[in-house]
Amino acid sequence: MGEVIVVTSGKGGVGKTTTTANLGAGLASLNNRVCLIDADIGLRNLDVVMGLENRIVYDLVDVTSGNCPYKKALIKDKRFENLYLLPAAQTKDKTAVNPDQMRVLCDEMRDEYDYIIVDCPAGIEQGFRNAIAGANQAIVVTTPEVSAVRDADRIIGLLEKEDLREPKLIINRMRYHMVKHGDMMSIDDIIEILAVDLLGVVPEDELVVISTNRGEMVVINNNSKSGQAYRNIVRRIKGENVPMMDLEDSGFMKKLRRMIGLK
Amino acid sequence: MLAKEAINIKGTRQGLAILLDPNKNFEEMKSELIFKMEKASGFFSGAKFTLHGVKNLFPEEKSQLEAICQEYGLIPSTDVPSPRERHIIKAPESPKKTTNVPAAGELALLVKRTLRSGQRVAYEGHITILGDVNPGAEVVAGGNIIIMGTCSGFIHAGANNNRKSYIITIGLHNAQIRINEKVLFKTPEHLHNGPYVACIEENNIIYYKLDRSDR
Repeated sequence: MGEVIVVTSGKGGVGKTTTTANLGAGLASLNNRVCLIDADIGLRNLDVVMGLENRIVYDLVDVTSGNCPYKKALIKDKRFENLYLLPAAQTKDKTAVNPDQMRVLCDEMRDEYDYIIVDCPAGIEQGFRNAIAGANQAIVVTTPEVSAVRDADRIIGLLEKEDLREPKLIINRMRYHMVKHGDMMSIDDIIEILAVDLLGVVPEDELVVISTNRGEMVVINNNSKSGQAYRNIVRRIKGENVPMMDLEDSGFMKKLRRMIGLK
Repeated sequence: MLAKEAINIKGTRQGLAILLDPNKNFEEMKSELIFKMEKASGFFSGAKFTLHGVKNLFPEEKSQLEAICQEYGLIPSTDVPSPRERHIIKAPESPKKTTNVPAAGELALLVKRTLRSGQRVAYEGHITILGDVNPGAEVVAGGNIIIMGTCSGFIHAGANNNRKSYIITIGLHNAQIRINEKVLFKTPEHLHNGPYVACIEENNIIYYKLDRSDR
């Protein structure tokens, strides 16, 4: 029986889709069978981030409305044999699917895959309710901004109400030098407000933008800090106990460590 | 049986079993419970009761329902079993004489968790919160409010036109405080290590750190 994990945030633009794509690729690279579901009907992005948009034939709405079996709608990833995408429909809206249909779909797919990751749309309306319906685990993504943390707090409350207790937190786009100068919320500030388990911290990294624009995933880039952060998160999802990455050390010491293979 | 109702009250030898339909929402349960209690007009008074089917409720919702029952003279108990489906409904026995009934104090609600953004607790009596009140959360009480944590949300004490209500909190951080109809829009950032007390003095809300050596 596979895990169904929903990636959600409340606020838009914090990196749900990027996180979904990278976690999916990371889990697939560790030989798990992974399927990503884009639940953002009407504003689909996950296919673009993965560089698969011109391969879409059928979509989520076709599957839930019974037009085709889900296996027919799945798109195989370019790089990973065991990574699949179920894209969202672009010409419909969130009301084209209901939570019961999502629950049935997730239960059906659970037998086939080790991990099913659902990319949740922003907001707390129907799209959110659809996305969390079939999930048995939740990952909340936030950035170190008061508005994003406020929305994450609201989302955690709503998840608890839907019996998705103990969601895990990913803090995205952390800028350590700003925290040092007191210009950005620190990890401790965020954890104090949200009071949930931290799954990982992803530093702000230009490589994320670059690879996203190319339809690649930063998680397979061995030379990027954000890629390393995503790989650590993937290992934590697998149940390994990986210490938090020390993101502050850079420059000479880091190069030295990498040279002697301590990374 | 009346399966469509949110609340079913069944009499057993040990007392009243109040069966909640988990598919109904809390507001429906609450209004129906009040309606049924009102209809019984004191008939249940003095009987022991246990709520069944409360698994989906938040603790404070459960205590609200219990408080309603207590208002109508029922006595909370943990050992009234849920009657089986085919159990014949007996008319509740006439209220027995109960000894050691605790003297009815003031109504109070205990909330054993942190309130997150968008969550709201409202109650006619006093409210005690074992946790934080995060930004965007709301607490409205007819009486006093005690928060065993940091308060950064919206709290309103004395909503029942009670100017003597007060708020006690361990920490204060950008909260909005209301007492009766007075509003204090912004409290300072990062006041820890309280307790702090907020109350109305000379027509304004003031707050100060509670100093135990004072009293």
